[in-house]
Amino acid sequence: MTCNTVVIVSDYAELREALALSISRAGFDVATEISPEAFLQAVLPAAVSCVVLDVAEGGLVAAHQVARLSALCSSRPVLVLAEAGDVPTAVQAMRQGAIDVIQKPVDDSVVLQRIRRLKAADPLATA
Amino acid sequence: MNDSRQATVFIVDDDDAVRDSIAELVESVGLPTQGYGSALAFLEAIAPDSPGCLVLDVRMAEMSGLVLQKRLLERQINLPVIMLTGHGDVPMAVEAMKNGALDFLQKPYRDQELLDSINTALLKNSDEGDNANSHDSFQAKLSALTEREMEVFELLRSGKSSKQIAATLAISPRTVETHRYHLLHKLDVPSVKDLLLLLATLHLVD
Repeated sequence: MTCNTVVIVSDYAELREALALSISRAGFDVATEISPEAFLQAVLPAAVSCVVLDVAEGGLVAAHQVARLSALCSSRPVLVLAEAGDVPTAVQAMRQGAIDVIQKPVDDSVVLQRIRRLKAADPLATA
Repeated sequence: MNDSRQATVFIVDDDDAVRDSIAELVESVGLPTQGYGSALAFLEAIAPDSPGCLVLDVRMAEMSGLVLQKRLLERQINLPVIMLTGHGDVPMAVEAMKNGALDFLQKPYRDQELLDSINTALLKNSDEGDNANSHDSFQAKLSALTEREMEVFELLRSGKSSKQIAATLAISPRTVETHRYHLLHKLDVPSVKDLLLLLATLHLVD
């Protein structure tokens, strides 16, 4: 089984859809959710490669959100998208175990590159 | 107060005024401080097992806070690090956190924020000091592993990846992940990297 699904969690439709499009064009399966809460109630996608979590402006990462998302997806890495210059959110995300933080506005190719690198470093991805 | 085992708040900042004001704040709550005007001066002075924590400015001439943090890791000086920055620099914050910084505060921060962070750091540091000596408690946790988890543990310890472990034990990588998850949980460490660090501290590495 190949872990090929990228889960995108964002309440911003435009970002969610644009990112979903470029990531699926790059050959990944994509699952999207509008919020971590919605994600908790959704049918968990199988074979998750990584989770991309968008954090709204000024919205600190809620306690254990990153850790919980990761746990739900068989400990897959969580990549957080934060507002440019939002150091407190970035620090909190890292503390909760995010693998990396990318600043918005996101450049799809940067996110994609990061996802690919994660996958390349992932022993499960090619199993 | 001159006991060398007394936890000290080390302050490294190339701005004398900032250093003094942090020292004053920290001493006002009764904690001893030692200030250094450069990363190099600090590196020369610090003993490997000094208890306490380090308050570190990210941007300094000569050697930056991030480089100093790496040097400390290389030398296995496990002082909890609190980074201070004047800019909303997310990549820098992320790198500092990846390198194990305990906190990354942006100026202007509130005094209480820094003091809270220092308290957390000192608690963490004294915990680690205790853990380092608690060979027995680790052995106790180890004995809670199942046979399979023990096999996975041994292979992780020898530096094998999940994929290699899966091949060695002839099980699926997903199953290895599951065992790994459970054994990390039982051993009370957040990641394999932390496990290896802990083993190194306990001198249990092959």
